[in-house]
Amino acid sequence: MKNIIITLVLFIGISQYVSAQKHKSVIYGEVGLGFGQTLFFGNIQQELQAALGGSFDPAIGNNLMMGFYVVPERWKGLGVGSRIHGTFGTPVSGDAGDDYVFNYYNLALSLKYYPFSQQFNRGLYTRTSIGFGQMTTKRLNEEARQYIHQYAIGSTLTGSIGYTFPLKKSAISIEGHFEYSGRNGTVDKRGDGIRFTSGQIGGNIIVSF
Amino acid sequence: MKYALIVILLGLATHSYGQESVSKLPVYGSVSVGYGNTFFSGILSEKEERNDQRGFGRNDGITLATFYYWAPEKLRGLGIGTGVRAFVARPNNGSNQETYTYNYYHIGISIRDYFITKRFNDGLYVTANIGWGQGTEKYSFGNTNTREFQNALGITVLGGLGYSIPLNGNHNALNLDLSYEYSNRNAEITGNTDTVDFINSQISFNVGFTF
Repeated sequence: MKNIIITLVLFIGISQYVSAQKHKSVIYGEVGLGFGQTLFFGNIQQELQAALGGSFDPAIGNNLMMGFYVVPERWKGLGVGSRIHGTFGTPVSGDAGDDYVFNYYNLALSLKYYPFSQQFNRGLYTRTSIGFGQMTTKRLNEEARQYIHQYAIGSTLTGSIGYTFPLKKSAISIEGHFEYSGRNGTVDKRGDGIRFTSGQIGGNIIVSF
Repeated sequence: MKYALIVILLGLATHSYGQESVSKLPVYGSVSVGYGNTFFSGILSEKEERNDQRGFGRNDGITLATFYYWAPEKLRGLGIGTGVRAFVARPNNGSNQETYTYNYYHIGISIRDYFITKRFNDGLYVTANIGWGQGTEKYSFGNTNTREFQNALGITVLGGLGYSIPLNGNHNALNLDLSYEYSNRNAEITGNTDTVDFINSQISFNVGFTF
């Protein structure tokens, strides 16, 4: 709930800023695809084992992202905006013979900055996002028609570095990123507030315009 | 469906390559929050009826949406965009320390048309989304400290009617809208040979800014 309130406050803050502008705000939209290696931190492996039964190693996932940025000219290459980044995990086999899938997403407030060109959508950039979202883990055995799910909700911090190649009216960016997530799960027989800490190292190809 | 959506999104994005003008593409950002009520059909409705008999209340909660639209003047008030819309349910408490929540979201493409003023971000508009996303159901049984989770993936369509009140010379606007969405998602549930349809609709009132 705290994360939702923070998100709402920041959304309202951005909205109030842009509504105070006397001219049409300059907005850049973007969509991207990529992949990433899911990372486990802390004792998430033990927690998932307790929640789902069996055990498995984190796998590579496919990334899908989209977002937009408000970019006032006087900010000299800095944009602030909203972004969603989702990962659809590939199934992996666990040590109990079942498959596991690991999906997660976060809806974030994001800063994107072009420190050298001082011009948005051109050259080297850094991106920092803080978001809120869900992780879904699924243990499945198709032959036995058995499915076990586990959810966790919490926050994600993402740092990225990339390079934008300007085109005629658009641009293509290549970026690498590292994300760190701390989420709370509710686990059968154990209760609320079970900590799931995970992350991802990966890369995306992004079209922005 | 996931890959079809990806193709659509990339197609929308790369459409910008074909533009002749050298100026910045006319893109509008939009964020909103709102209050929504979920209505269930099929097996979820049967669960709701059983819950109602055990003292549960409405399945309501908060909507959050963030979209952006490409809206050149030549489209005369029509914008085409993409984004995400989520619903965070208020935990629905029943008797015997039981709680039910059903959260969901969709990522999709969206159109918004100012069919009267023919100017984007000014006046009455209609909007429609089609997207793909997830629904997550959770039952908590406090007396026995047990939980049941289900996960469903599928399609959402949305239709809405809204009004944009221009601020500072039509470049930004305060939006009010009433939206209806319908979702049909498939859940894999232990013991069921086929996937189970998780069907719900939602009516929501939303307030936001487009800039």
